[in-house]
Amino acid sequence: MLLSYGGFVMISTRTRLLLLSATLLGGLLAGSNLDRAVVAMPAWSQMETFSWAAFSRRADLGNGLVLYPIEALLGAALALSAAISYGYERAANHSVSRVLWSAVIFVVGGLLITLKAAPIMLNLSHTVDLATLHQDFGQFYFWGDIRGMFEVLAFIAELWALSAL
Amino acid sequence: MRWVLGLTVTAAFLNGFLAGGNVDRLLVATPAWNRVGLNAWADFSRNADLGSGQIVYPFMAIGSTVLTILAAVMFILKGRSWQGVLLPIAFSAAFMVIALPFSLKAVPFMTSLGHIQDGDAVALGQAFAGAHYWGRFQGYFHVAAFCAQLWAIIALARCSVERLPFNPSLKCC
Repeated sequence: MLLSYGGFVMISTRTRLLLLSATLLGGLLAGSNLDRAVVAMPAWSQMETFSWAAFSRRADLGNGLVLYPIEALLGAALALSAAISYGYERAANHSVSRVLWSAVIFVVGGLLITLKAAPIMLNLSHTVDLATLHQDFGQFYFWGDIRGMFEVLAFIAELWALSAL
Repeated sequence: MRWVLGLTVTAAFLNGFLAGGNVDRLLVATPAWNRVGLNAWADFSRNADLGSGQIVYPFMAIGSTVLTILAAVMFILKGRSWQGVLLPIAFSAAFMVIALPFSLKAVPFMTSLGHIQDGDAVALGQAFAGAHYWGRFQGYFHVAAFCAQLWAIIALARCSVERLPFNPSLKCC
């Protein structure tokens, strides 16, 4: 739906709603990852790795198996849809379009990093060896931080685009 | 009006992180802690919530609340009363303010972990129940405030004077 006020074409409600939903999910995902990077992982690094593994098996491999993919995949689909929808707007502006596509790139970057981080977490369900757990923790910490950075950048780009529509 | 938009965007940025952390705690962490056990929860919380969380959480909560209130006050002081913008700004500020007492109710349960012994199952159970009971309400209001902040950003951006040069009838900004 195109809105027109006195001949000035506005951005459609469809694009606004798509971007609003993408930003909502992007913010929740970025928040979850920032919390993990800044509060949870430094705390786990001071504790026994077995404790981290026991919790992760019930959290990330529990309800996290439902919540995280919904936030990440639905958020990515909404960000992509918002960018495509904006491209069809008569009032589209190049700088906003660039910010929207940057958000899509960051979201996709986050998903690609998840391809590195997720197998480490999934391996926890059958890892009992302490040395392997230490290695898994270090790798998950590293890839999780990079993924979090991409998700935070995506959230910033989405917020920026939302305020410029 | 750019200031109000800027403040609201910054508030949403901070509160988005807070809301995301709260949703994660509510839907993923708390059910997991129920199964892992109270001693492990207490040990983790002493290192997390009573570690860097003591700086990160108040910074995000107080920062976002102050910025949201400032945006609402600036919007009202500038004599703007367009309901489409005032409503989400007012809701954002109200939800952030309402969340504060719930946070204050949850804090003593979390700080009590500093002196509860690991073997004291009763005291640990009370701390866990109290922290998560009040923390849940705090989370609901942070998520509601985040939604209202995003709604306010859309409403503020939409009624920006620069974007509506041919629409003198819209007296929003």
